[in-house]
Amino acid sequence: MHKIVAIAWVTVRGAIRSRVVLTLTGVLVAVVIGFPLMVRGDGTLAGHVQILIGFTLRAVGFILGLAAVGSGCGAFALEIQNRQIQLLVTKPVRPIEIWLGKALGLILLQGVLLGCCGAGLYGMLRWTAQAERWEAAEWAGLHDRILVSRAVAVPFVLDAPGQAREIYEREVVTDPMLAQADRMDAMRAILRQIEAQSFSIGPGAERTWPVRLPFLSDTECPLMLQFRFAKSIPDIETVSGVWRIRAPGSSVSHEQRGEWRPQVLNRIWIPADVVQGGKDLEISFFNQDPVAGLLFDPHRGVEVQMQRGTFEMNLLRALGGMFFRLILLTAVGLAAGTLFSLPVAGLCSFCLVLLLQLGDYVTGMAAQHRYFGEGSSQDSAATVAADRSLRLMYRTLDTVIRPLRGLDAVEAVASGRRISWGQTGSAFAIQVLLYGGILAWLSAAGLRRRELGAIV
Amino acid sequence: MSKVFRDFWYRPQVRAVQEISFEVGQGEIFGLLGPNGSGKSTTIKMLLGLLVPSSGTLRVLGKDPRDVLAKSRIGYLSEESVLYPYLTAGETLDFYGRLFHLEARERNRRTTELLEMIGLTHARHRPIGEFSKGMARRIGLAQALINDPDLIILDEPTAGLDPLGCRQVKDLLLALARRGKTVLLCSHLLADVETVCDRIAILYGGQIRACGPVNELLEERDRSRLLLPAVSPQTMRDLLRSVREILGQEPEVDHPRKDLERYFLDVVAQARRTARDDSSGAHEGAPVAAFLAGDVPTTGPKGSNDA
Repeated sequence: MHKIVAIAWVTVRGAIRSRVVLTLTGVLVAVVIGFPLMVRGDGTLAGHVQILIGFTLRAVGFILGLAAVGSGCGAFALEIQNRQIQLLVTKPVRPIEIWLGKALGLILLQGVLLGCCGAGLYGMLRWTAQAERWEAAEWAGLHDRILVSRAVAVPFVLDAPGQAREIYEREVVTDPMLAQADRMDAMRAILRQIEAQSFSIGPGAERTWPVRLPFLSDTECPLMLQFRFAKSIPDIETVSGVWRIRAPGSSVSHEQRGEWRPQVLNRIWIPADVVQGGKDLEISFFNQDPVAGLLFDPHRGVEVQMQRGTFEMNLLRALGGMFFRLILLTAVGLAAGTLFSLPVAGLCSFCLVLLLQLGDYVTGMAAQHRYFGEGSSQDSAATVAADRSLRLMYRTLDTVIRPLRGLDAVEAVASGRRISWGQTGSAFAIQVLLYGGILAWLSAAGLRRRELGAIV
Repeated sequence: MSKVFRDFWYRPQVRAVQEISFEVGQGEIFGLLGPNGSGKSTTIKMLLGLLVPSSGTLRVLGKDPRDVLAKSRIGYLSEESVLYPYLTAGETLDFYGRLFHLEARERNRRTTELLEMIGLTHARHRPIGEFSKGMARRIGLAQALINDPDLIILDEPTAGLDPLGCRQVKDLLLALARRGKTVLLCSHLLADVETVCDRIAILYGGQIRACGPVNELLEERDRSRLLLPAVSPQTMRDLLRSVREILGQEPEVDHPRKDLERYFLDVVAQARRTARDDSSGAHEGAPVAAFLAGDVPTTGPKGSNDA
């Protein structure tokens, strides 16, 4: 540990003396202090603050992310190029200690900068949201919607996988196309179909969903139902409907009629006594419109939100999530810098970061079967081989990237959603321990095998 | 051992070292000589684990050169100054001391003594990036000695140093050898090597062309030299006549010359006595640092005996 701390100290010293930190601090101050003075938002205090939190944290994450990758690459590649590493490796230090020392130094710097940005953002939020500057309704809206920490529960379809399996086994006998398709892909497609059907409501129809809350509800605190839907007829502006909420087996229920606007977030409050301190709810919606069918997003279309913890702790967890991502990016940069020269390392690590951002695209491509061929028996052997190779590549990439595509901490904290300690711990375990560990091991092995005395 | 450098396609490009074999004993000062590109630095880098031999084996202090325990007993000065330019002289020595797990008090003591030895006490708080080449070289030498190593590997140790510095380095090496330290020296400054090395190996084209004790290699056994105090012309004529009668050959007569290094040192020493030195460069260094001279008991790396 002694040696790791010594190398970390030199890394910090180098970053400070090279004025990288000074420049970065200047840019971050401009973002954290300057942006709130310029942003106008949607005219409401809640909208203003939501944009403020979202933009500031995203900008800070982007800038520090770039710095993490760049400084990671430079920490090794430049030192190998300038041959300073030659002196270091002739001392009694193991390659992994050198790697960890450099990582620790860079991570400490990023942690301090991120912490300062978080504190600065919080200060700006408090300054922006001073009660005397706003009307009571605006102020209350902000504290109900944004400066909160709400745990979210979404309705689910009972035994959806079982239903999908049943449909598949029934259809596969009669449908030759289905019989030829990959079983898992077909099951996934059927599952999506079931979910879509379960969240669509025809004209004059009613649908009920079960909801399991993540925590026992607080008997003092009302819950919030937030929903957004699309309609089948474009001309109408609102849809009339009735929400009914009750605990299973309970006679107490809450009913709310209204004219609801499609494509925007609608919110209603659920009195605390409806839930009766339990964890289960039944939610139903009766579509009173005689012509328009409605479609809710199966994953984010209907949400029950409950107050849990404070905004401050939620912000802290969001910053933690961002910090873990920065650690991962630093590890990516350091690994690339260990294995390649600076330009190649920079290019490789930025490609990897880009790949992380394109996670949805990769997942989509991995789900496809054909990229060149048409799936008929007339496809040439080369086309089939190319399709198989590409699919294997996309699937491998998807397997590697998927664990890193967790919760969007910035979006969550900006919209008042609670980031759980479990999610934070999971981000730490995956991004820092698992992926960071793999990259550290890879780099140390590369450093051990590389001939550092060779002319670069 | 041999070393072949290969290109991207693994095709052999350069045979830098070809089947060389040598052994250096404890307390010896061994010199590797040769023109540029003869394989000296490659050999040294293989000894330090910076390059891997293409064939053959090598043991340093009885271990693989990449072994951490072996590295803890080695001091290395590289051919070029490769120190961190943003660290001050004091910070640099402290940093390398930390890598050898030296305690803070011991690091501070060694740093002070080494800076005094290399004449850079006044520059302790200046960043190395501001140093001249010679000053950076001195710091490089100091960092190689911070762990009081058993084996000191020096690649062109006197390159960039003024004659005073060169003399000091040579005195230091002799002092270290007297303490049983082993020194492996690589240089193409033949005069430096001649005055300090016990044994030398001359490399050319990656092969050892000559190897042995300096005195044995340089001695001309078929000729003798007789040094006399200054004599009168008549006495000289008598002596020459006698020698001619005895040997039957004409002897060569000349006056011995001081070497330029000694003459330079005398002039500078005299100038120092009369002029006030207020330069910001390297000052005249103190004698060998106490911990290197073995004058005071040293505290080695934490949890181990002194190297």
